[in-house]
Amino acid sequence: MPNKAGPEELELRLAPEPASVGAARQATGDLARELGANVEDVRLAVSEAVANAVVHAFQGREPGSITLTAQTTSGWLLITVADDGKGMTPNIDSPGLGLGISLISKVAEQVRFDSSDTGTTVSMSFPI
Amino acid sequence: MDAPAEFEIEVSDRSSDGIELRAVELRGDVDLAHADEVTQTLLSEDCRRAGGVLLDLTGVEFMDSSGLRSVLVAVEQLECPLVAVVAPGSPVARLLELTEVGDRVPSHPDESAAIAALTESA
Repeated sequence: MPNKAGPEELELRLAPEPASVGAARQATGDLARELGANVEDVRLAVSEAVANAVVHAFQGREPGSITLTAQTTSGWLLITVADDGKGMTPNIDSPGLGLGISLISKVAEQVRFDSSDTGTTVSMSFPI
Repeated sequence: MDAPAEFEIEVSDRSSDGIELRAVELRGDVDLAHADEVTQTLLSEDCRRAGGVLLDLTGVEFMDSSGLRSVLVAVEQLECPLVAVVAPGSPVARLLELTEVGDRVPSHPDESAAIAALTESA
């Protein structure tokens, strides 16, 4: 269930299932619109980041958790998508085309990927 | 809060210059939740048997790489040609530009141009 941490903040606990992609996109898109960020850029980046977590984070293991947070600071909307999965690993058999990371990098002003064997966090910044 | 655009697929048969075409229209948001359904529809027997597939994406309000992958898989696996209708400046047009795969998805700005392309290549 969504939990508004504050008027310009957001924290979502997402189930690792495809429907979470749309839920995350809707919530962050609405927030972006309120703040004056580029709604389409935010929606696309969040969709890609959450879909990556749903598809890849828990392959071959028990489903875990995906948490999305959004907050504002000094003219920026900062969005993170964090999972407690297996971390990012090269996968030549990936069902995706590898386009997700490239898209995030193109539409987010700044992006950072932090990954280990205990999970992955994607941090994205958008100007507001 | 705006509700997410509901995903819909509509399929129909068309005929042009004696060539049987399968028209597939996608509407709403096309993401991971719907990618498999898109793939299954585009690779269905009806599409495989057709002389060409007309994929109308003008009603798509959002598409990410999951949705795009479904289209690319169909383009690759269908033996008949697939041509998309993509409105200039639309979310799909932007996605094709960002991913730089526009040359892999034959597309036209309107249906008549897309059908003409299909009948020429069939």
